[in-house]
Amino acid sequence: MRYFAKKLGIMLVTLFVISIVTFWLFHIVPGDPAQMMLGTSASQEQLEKLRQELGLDRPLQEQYVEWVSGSLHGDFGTSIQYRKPVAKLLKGKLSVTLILGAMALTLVILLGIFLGIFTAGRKHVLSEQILNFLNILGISFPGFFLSILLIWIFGLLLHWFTPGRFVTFSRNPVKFFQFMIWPAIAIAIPQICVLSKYIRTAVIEEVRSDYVRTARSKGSTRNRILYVHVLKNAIISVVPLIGMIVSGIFSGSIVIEQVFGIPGIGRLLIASVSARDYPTVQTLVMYIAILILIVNFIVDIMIQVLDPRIRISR
Amino acid sequence: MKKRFLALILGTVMTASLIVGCGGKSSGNSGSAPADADAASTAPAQTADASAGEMVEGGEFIKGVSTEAPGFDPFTVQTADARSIFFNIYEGLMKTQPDGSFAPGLAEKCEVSDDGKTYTFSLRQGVKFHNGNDLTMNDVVYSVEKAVTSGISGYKEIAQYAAAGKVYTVSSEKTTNEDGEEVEKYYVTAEDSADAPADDTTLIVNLKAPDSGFPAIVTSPIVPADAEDLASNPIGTGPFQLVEFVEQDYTRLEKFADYWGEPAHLDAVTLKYYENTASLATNYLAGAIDGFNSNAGGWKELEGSEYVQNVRHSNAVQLLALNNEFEPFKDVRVRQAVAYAVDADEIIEKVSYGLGTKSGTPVIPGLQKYFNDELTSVYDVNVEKAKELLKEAGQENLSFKIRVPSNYQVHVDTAQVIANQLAKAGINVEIESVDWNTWLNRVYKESEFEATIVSVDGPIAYPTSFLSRYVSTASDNFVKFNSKAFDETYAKALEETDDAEQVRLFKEAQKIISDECASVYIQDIDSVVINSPAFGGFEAYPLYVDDYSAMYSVQ
Amino acid sequence: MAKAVNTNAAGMKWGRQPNAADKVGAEKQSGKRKASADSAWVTGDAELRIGFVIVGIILFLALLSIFYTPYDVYEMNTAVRSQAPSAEHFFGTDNFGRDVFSRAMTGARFTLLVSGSTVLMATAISIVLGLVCGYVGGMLDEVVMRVIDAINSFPSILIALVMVSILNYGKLTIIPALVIMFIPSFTRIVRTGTLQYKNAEFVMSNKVFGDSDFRILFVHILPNIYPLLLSSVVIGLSNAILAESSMSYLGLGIQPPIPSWGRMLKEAQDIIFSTPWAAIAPGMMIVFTIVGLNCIGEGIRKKYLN
Repeated sequence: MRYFAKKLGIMLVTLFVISIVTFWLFHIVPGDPAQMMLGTSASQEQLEKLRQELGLDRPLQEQYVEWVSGSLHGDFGTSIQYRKPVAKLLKGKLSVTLILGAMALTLVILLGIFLGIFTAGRKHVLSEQILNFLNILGISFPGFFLSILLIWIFGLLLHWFTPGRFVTFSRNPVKFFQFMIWPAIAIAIPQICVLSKYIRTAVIEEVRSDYVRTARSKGSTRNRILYVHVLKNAIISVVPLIGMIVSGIFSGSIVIEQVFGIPGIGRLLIASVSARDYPTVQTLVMYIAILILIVNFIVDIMIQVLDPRIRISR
Repeated sequence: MKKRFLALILGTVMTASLIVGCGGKSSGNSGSAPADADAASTAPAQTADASAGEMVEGGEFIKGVSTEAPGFDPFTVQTADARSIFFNIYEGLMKTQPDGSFAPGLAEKCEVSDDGKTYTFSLRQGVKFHNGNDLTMNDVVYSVEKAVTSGISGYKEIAQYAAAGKVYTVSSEKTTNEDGEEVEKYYVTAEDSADAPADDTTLIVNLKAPDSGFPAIVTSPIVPADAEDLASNPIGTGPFQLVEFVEQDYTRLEKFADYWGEPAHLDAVTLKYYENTASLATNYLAGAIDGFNSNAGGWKELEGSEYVQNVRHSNAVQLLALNNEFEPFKDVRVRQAVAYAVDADEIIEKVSYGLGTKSGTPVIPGLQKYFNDELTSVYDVNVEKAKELLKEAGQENLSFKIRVPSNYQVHVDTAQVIANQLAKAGINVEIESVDWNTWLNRVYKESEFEATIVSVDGPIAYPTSFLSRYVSTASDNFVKFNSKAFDETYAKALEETDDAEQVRLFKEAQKIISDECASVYIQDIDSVVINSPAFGGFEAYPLYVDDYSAMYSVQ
Repeated sequence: MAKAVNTNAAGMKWGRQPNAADKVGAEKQSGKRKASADSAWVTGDAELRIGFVIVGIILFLALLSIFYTPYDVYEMNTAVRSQAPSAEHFFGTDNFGRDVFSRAMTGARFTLLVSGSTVLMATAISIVLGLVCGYVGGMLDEVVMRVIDAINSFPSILIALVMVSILNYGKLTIIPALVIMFIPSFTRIVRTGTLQYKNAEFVMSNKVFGDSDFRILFVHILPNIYPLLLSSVVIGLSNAILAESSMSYLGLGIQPPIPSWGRMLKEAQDIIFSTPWAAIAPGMMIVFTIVGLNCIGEGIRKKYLN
């Protein structure tokens, strides 16, 4: 319980630090959102009016306090770029990115575990060197290059999907998944390599450990040992990695949404950064940070619950 | 191998300008014949075959675009791509025609007094807004006032207007803004008057000075007086209405069933948003979109696929803008040296694949009547002369930075070509690409630049929208051009009532800009409009707009 | 339970550097490999050899590009637009007729310059920060670690995006933006190492002999952390290359006309149907370089950390 409270405390402090830093950073950035909204032939009067309307002329502390208290009530301010409540703006986008992330995470965990165990098998056709090399190759592909290759090969040459034609889930769920599987693959591949290597090493370690030897000497079959004991422990050992994988998936999807033209929060983020859309960027940054903090928090708790032997040195 | 199908539709057919009420003064014909003939000769292939299929009603057209409208309020949003959407959902008293003339729109009739100062409009009856309400004089009066107070170009020339028993007077007031600059604010005061027309179909507008270009100005939108949030819920009278806008994804327009004129053929138009212009060709190939505006050779990607290609002027002049207040550029000889070192023909060949029209002045070549075509070749490339001028000015080691907006691949490419060209004259150039917002702020608004490359368009097809920014006191004079001769000539041109003389003065003003070499005017890049052969009815305008009401599906 | 090794935890993404890096690094691999113990693959020599050859080639091309490239990098030649790879143009030409190979060579120079200086700066800062935090501990350590935690909870691209937009546009804005990205992971490694050694016998005995704190930190503790730090730095370098090319891809890195791999890819992406080699060449250069660096990192780990 003390552990839980401590972790929670750390999380809240980190959150506070992030909120202040984020808010402050985005206000020292040069750039006038009003001009951006109005375009090149806007008059001075139009600009002034708009700036006032958006509250850009008030002192910084005032804007911060208002932002925090608003956020707690679910009011994240008004997007400067789109002139509508940020909360409304995020509604459709957040789910797109979360689904993309979930698809990628599912792929990573399923394929990562499968490949990890598969390659850990003793009499494997692929030698250790080749496995190592494939692994290094997998983590060496930048997400955007991988995406470009997928679009080129499977989209333009083979016509397996229509690049650039994202369809919302509500409009056509089948087409939605047909499209989204490709960016999910692009995001997942480097993570799969990392995870499978980790699991493979973990499984090999497990197999050598005392209890497996004991089990074997007691006459358990190889498969039983592998899938019941070893796998269980290997999966537990993967838990600490989840936080890192989720963060990696977010990093990946920010760039990859851009390549595939997916209207998720990653794309919105990049557009908002360049439009100096402070409220939107702040909200997005906070959203992502909170999400990752929560995932890390859950992971920490899970580790504690699953295997008290593991302690993270802080 | 797919059947190759290409049609090249020339800008527009040259027709005698339509004389309909105020349309008497047509602002130039779109697409000057010689320019388009050039384009035709360099276009990839032409199989003029427009009669490939039969027109059918209905269908959805998906157009790939690379910018989103920053809201749909026509009184605040002024970007070129937004105006292109507005053209389909809003209408003004007058309507721009493909040939550059103005036909009655929401005004059924328009009469101009002999002195050119008074315009009388009769409101069309039976027009419905997208929200189902009828168009009334009340809406017109509201929209005009909105245009005046929002500072829409041209409306400050109005002295008074009168309708439905009231006279509205336009006044201005000088105030100081936060930067300590003086700004003029316009407002309208209403008064009951017996002189005003008593019926509610007549609008009389009195101008401060005669202006035969006024019909162009009243093409600006009429909106309902009770409209609350045009930015996100635009209501107009146009053939299409906006039904959905999803940020970073698409904008969907649907046919307006109660349109007063000829209804649109298509059921819907979706503008699908992509991050940059260059990616549109790939998305067309993939089958994600039915059409797009291609520049800088995007159409080259389409070889072997089916498409219909329309070449037209983009109606914007690409220029290498020189900040006249940057120390070396204060000397006109240095500016001229840069102009002599830049080879516009090479840029057109390399960056635009030959599809561009040399300009030499800020006015678009498509505005044929006012375009001073004698200036096109004044600064033809001459490296020796450039070196000489630099030597005279003591700037042999000239070095400057071009700040270019990164979202426009065509300008980034042009910058790279220019850097190579200037190197030959011993000028060292550094390129710095900045995002569009930073560009608007630092380059366009604050003039924090040495040189930049951009295309400048005009909101209306009239020379003032291209020349007014060169007046030394203009707030949008981002190149900081300062010439007494120009200011005087321009002012004279505005007041001139004689058409021929006014044209002469506008041409004279362009000559001054060229002599003083305000900047280096490169080209009007042809916009190559690519459409799928499944659609027809494309119309080219002397404005940066797409008219979807004319388009139809082909079977 | 032995926590398995995970050198690539650091290298897997140019995402945030995980706690795993220090978790893992601190406790060396416990499972000793048996069998053909002299095999080059087990000792890491093979990886090192492959890695050095690859990185050597790239480095050579990058350096050569200062003096010589087969064709002018910037001059456009419309006569040879979109040519497929051939004897004249190893990697073909782009849609402006520029030689892709020459551009990729020059791109290597700038990409390596940016990522190299980034990692160097981040390492220098992290050594000081990590040593001091680990040695002094207390409040300072607590605060620095909280800040590092905060930075770590962001996907690093977010940090880079924010930094680039704050620092304004400039030729080398990307460098400080990336430096901040790498400080947390490097600092953690140094700090963990310092914690591990600061109470070690040999350090204590030197302390007794009156060595200054400075001397203890830099002469006695730091050298022990080197192998661990070195493998992380090499992996960090490959992350820096990924990061630099991603930022250039997003248009926020090195400015045109200077060809950087990410920017070349961005420009070639839109002509991939007609001119695929213009995209594949810079893409594969990135992959190749990162493979080389990862091999070296793996090699160092196997050779010195087992």
